[in-house]
Amino acid sequence: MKKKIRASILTRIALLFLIAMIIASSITYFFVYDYMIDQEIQQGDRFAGAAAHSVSEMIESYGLENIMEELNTDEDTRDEMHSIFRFLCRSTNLRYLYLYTINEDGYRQYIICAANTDEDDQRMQREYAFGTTRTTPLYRAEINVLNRIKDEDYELIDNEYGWVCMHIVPMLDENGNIVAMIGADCGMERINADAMNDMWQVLLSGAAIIAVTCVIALLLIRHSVTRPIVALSQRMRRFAADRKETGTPDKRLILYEDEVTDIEEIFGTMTKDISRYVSDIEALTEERIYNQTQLDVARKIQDGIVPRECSVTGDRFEINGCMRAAREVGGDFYDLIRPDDRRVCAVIGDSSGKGVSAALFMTTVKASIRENIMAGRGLADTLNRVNRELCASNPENMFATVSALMLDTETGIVTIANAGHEKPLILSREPFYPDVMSGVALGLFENSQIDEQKIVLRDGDGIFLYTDGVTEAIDTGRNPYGDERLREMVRAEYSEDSRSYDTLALIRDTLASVDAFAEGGEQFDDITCLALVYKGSADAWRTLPPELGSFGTVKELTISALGENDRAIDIVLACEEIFTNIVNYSGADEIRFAGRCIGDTWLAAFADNGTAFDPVTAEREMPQFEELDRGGMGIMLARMKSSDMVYSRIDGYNILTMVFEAEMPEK
Amino acid sequence: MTIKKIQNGNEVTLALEGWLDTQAAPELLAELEKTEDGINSMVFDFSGLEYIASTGVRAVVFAYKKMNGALTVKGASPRILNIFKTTGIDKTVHFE
Repeated sequence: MKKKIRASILTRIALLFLIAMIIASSITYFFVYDYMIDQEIQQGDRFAGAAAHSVSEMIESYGLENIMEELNTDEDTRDEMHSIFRFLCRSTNLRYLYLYTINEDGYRQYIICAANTDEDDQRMQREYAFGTTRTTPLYRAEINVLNRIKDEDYELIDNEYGWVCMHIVPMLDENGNIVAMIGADCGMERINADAMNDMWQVLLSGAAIIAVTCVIALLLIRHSVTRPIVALSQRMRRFAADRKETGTPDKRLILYEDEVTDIEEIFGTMTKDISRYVSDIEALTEERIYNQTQLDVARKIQDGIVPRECSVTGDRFEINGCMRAAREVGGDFYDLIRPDDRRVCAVIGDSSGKGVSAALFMTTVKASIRENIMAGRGLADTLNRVNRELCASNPENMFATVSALMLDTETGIVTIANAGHEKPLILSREPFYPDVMSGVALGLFENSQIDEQKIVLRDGDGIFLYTDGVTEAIDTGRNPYGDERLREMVRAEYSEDSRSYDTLALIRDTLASVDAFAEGGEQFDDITCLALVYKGSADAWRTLPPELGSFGTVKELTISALGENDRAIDIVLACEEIFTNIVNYSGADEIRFAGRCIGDTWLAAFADNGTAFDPVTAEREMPQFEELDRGGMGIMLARMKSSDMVYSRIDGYNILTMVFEAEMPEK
Repeated sequence: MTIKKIQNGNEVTLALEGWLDTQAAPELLAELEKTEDGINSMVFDFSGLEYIASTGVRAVVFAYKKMNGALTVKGASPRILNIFKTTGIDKTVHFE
């Protein structure tokens, strides 16, 4: 904004008063002047008239005809009359007094002319001596008198003889005819001076009264308006500068409450309020900055605890995980643990709540899980222990859903334990959500039981873990991302060339897919995902024709590797039962087998494309003796002879892996 | 697998040698099917048997039912005996 010229209110009001006074005076002057002049003319006329009438009466007392005769003939009479005229002139303060007649031609013919001053009188003697005729036109007043329009008349005249008010009185004979005329001129310079004098007196006294009134008004305004306002503006300026204004107005005499006192009162309240708000806001801001700093530090710490992206790879596996918190810190977490060279453990979890509380709780859960896994405990054992630990001290009733898996990199067997977390997704040609037993989230019930189960992965297969930040992400229409969309997205990542997945690309594409789905909307939950791919152990799979006679291959392979001993024969028995079952009941036209030693352990694996059949869960009870001749004990035998048996149904194949430890545990 | 059949009056002894696996079991079952009338007691001599699969076990149960319980198994190695114990057959069939 352009800077304006600065002038105080009082100055401007004073200026306005002054201008108003000048204008008022000017108007008064014009109106009063005319009036005064009029009054003065009347007064002059009265003087002149009085003088003229004195002359007229005096002449008449001599007898009009006589005196006129004498005046026309006798110079002494004229001198005497002139003396009288001068005396009258002086005594009545007239400028000129003269007697004249109008001749037949209508011109003035002067008889006696006298003036007040010597100078004027001598001029009169010279220029208006007895008998002098002037041909200058008659004035209106003279004509009015001559024509008997008025008995006597006056007129203001301004000529070489001065500015005068001329008063004409006719001298009438007995018959009422005008014999002569008497002119009395009153000098207007003097009248005007008087008028001016009077007027100035009026004006000045008026002005003085107004001025005094104005000054009093200004003083009052200054006391009750401008000074308080100036003080207020200074207080406001001080307040704006440092907000240290106390809100107490300057001391002054207050007789009446008015708008200014209202403003002062409101300002006082306002400054107190604003000061309080400002100090509140400052405190809040300070706290906020402090909190933000703490959160930044917390985020850095969390980045250390749960890296935004982390990768662990081995000869036989590849894992990539990532976490993206919705806020500075989040409750999602994942962990990649290697309890020993052979196994790798992947954990994903989501603690209840959001922000710092969730992050703090998550840290405990994650650390506890890691500690137990590193101590060599199994997944279910670990999660149950962690659950009990959390329940023992959980004042805020926080909880965490956790999904954990342990991959045996030698066998491809994956142990899975789930505590109320999202179902894992099996990464195969056709990704699917397997039936996974799910326990209750950790931290809720002390006596809840989490179980574990096993699946076996083929070379190239994997498992994808994620949090609800993925599947519950919403688009602008508030539709959830959902399990099925995730499955379709993952499926598109399958590479036919490698018959596997690129885990890093998978997690990154998952985030990108969720982002694209949310269409730039604010991420409302932490997003975490973790992809594991089992690269396999380059097992030499043999294809067996789907007939009983093919089993010789399995038997030979096993005996040749282990020697013909009780253990090897038990292994052959277990394998034969499985193989017989496949050939006789599955309807498979493709059966493959792989067997090999892992240290002292023997591993036997079958894959067939027959009807889905899970020998691990089937036929849990031994049949009654009477029914034994109809079968039903083969699977039981196989289970008894193997240390572990893990089944998966992937891409239309039954995958069964049997583990035979060197020392069979008692069953 | 080889099967030696020794008949002694109403009792028949089947001495099995080698592996009684899924493929060999039908052979044993066929032998049991063609057991002559009049035979009312049977003995399995498993002393030469190295291996028995579940189909073999089923054949033993089949024989037991056919002989109306007059079946004795002898000479079974601990490993093979273990399988019968596992399946609970040892509680019914007489082992020597």
